[in-house]
Amino acid sequence: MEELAKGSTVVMIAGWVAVLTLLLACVLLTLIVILRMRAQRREQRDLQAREHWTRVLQQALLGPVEVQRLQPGEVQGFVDAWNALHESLPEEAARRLVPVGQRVGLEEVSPRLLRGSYHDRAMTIIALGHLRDRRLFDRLSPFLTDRSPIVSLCAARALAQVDPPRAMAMFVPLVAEREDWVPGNVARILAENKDGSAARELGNALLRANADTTVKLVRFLADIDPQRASGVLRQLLDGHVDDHIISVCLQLVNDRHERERVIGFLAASRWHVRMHAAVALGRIGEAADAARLEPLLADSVWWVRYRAAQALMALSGNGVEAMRKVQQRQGDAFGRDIIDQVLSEHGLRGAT
Amino acid sequence: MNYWQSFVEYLQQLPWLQQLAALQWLFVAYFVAINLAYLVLNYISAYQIVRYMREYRANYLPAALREYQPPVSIVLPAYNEETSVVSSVRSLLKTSYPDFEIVVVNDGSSDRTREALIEAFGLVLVPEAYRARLHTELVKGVYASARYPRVRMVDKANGGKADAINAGINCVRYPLFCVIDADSILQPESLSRVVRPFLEDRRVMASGGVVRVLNGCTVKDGMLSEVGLPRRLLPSFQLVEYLRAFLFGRMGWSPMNALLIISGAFGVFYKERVIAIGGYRTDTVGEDMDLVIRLHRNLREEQRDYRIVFVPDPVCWTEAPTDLASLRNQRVRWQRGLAESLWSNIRLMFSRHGGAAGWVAFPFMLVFEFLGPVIEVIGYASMIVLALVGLVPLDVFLVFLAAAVGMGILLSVNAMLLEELSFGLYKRPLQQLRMFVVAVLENFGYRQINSCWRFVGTMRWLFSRRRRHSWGHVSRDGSWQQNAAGAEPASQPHAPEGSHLP
Repeated sequence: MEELAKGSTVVMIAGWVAVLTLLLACVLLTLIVILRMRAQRREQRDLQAREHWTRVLQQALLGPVEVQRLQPGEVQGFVDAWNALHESLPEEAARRLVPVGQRVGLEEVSPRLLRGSYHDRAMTIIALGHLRDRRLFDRLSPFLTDRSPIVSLCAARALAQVDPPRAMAMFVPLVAEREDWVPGNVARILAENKDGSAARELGNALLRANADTTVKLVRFLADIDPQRASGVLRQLLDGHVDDHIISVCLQLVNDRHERERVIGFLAASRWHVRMHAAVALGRIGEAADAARLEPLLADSVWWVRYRAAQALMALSGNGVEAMRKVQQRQGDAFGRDIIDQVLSEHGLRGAT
Repeated sequence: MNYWQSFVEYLQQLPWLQQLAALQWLFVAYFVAINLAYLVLNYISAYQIVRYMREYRANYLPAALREYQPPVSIVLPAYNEETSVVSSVRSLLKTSYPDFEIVVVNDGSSDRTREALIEAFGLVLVPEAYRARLHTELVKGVYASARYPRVRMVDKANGGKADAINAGINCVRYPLFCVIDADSILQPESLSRVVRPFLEDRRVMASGGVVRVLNGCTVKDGMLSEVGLPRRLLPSFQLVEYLRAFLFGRMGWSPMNALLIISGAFGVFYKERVIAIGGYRTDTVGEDMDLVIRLHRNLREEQRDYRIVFVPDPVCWTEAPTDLASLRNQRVRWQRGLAESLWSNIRLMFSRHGGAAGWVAFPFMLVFEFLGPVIEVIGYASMIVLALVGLVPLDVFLVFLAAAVGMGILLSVNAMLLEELSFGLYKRPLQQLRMFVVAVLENFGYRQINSCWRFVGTMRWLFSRRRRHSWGHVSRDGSWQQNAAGAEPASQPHAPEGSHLP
């Protein structure tokens, strides 16, 4: 083993590794402690500023208050308090805070924050949106195409507060393109639109949409303007574009006039189409449609049987007694079991 | 004295000892390779965490945009958990997640687990049309509650943890399911954080988060309320070990889509994908790791575009064993689980479509995690023997020992720095100093004994037959529960001896 001992270069390297790693570890520890102490001070300062500005903004809701311009150390705390209070207030009350935001110079301190970290950018974009000042539109609009989904969605919401028609004209075409925007968040921004520009832009976008984007956009349209959406849904159901689109349309259809169209899909070859057709019929169908649903109780797919049984239960006139009669008519054991399950769930819901 | 010198000279001439001495180069090479590999992982994960934190540092999405989340089914396997299962379910009911169901699986408990659940939640037997898509031991019945519509219980014959999870998967309603150990403590935002990757990338099939050590923390109403450090040394060592393992051991693999482990204590999966590969295997103690590796293998064989991701958020807190016997059992089982998972999925390694999982992560796990303890134990033992017989001068031995200790400390301090840069959970500078002391001390005994236990685990895997995974138990002191308002008394705390490696 003298090889290892003789390999003095290796031993020397090992020695240096030992010394350097220990030194580096000590340096890192010092850095950690300094970072922790700085973070503690910063947290304390932000907390104090936040508490102070929350009090001031609450007073502003009750009547006029005297405010100073923001000091560098209290910007973060003010933005936190400003955003939190706006989120908790109805729109009308929140508008009463706008003069305070203008007087403290939020707009003036914002350029620095908008060049900062993700966190600062998102918080500042939200804060500027609450000012509802159309002059800010051009400053905020570049963030709509930010590659971060968080920053871009915050910008969309802020722009929708600042100038709704202009914002929707920019936002809706991006909805079709952006895969990283969470649908629920997009739906919420569209639903907050009050002047009808969101529905108008969605209708326009649907005219230019392909199969994939149609599915995406029609869901949003159905949420905010069911009447406008029903025409699009009718076209899509008649067009038999593809099974996925049909499934989506069946989930959205809510017009009793579409009954016959929906019934046509109960015998579809794809199970998810049959399942959604059963659910849709349970929602918009009549008591007479029960006979059309019964064959699905013996479907080979559990979910189709389950949803068909729930739809039967939902159809008017199909109470527990009627379901028991349907059950007695079932020659298929799976069909009888699924009715037992749905009746038991119905019983549990009734007991609450 | 002369006798001793003669004896040493005799030993020095032994051919096998000469060969062992020649082998020292191998151990040095291994030491260099493993530390370089860990440093690379360290820097990849540092970059990832800093990037992640810039985007997700706080919940700064407007409140109105925070609500949308897909529904999730929580599967809670339980065996002889009568003292804790009710409080576990109650704490899960308090999660801030908007839409979820809890499916507790009573795996043939011999105590009053079933009765405790029935009494606490008013469960009644329902004629559920149970679908046995995954084969399990006999399911005796499904229970539901009128008062707690989110809670259901599957009562089944004993079959082990994996079998219980499979029964839960058969019963869940939503496309995403989350498996949680009955002894794990969550934070209100835990589910949201782990589900977020599914919302942002439709290719995501599974997601896991960081598991942290609960000892020394305060739990209130079943949720973590204050983060602290353990008072005792053994759980403190494990705390530093968990920091290292999760903050760069896991996070480093995620950007390469080569993450091979999602802790069994807390992970979210696409149900259909798990069913498609046959669910959890019941004949391994490492069912969680095996599942993730099989997901990789199958998805890669099918040439699917998929992601298995890891979020650095601390989402799940678990109590670390406080006595050596329990810790030994846990580590031996983990090593067995690792060996079983790797060998039963060996086809992934260097497979044509294996990608980073098959070409980088799998060989890494095999060489450094599976064979590592064997090499380390032989390396330590031989170095000591050679130093004793004078074939390695004492100063050379000490220099190499110092280098190993230095690297060990540096890796731990790197993990501490990552923790501070990202979550900063340990608020007081004194806590950082204490962790540093622990990071130094663990190199003198703890790491070595850990390697020995893992060595034993590898040997047990080599020399024992594969069998069904039963429920073992690790005794834990439950001190965090003592101040917990609303928590169960900690008279006889115990926890499933899960297979989740740190």
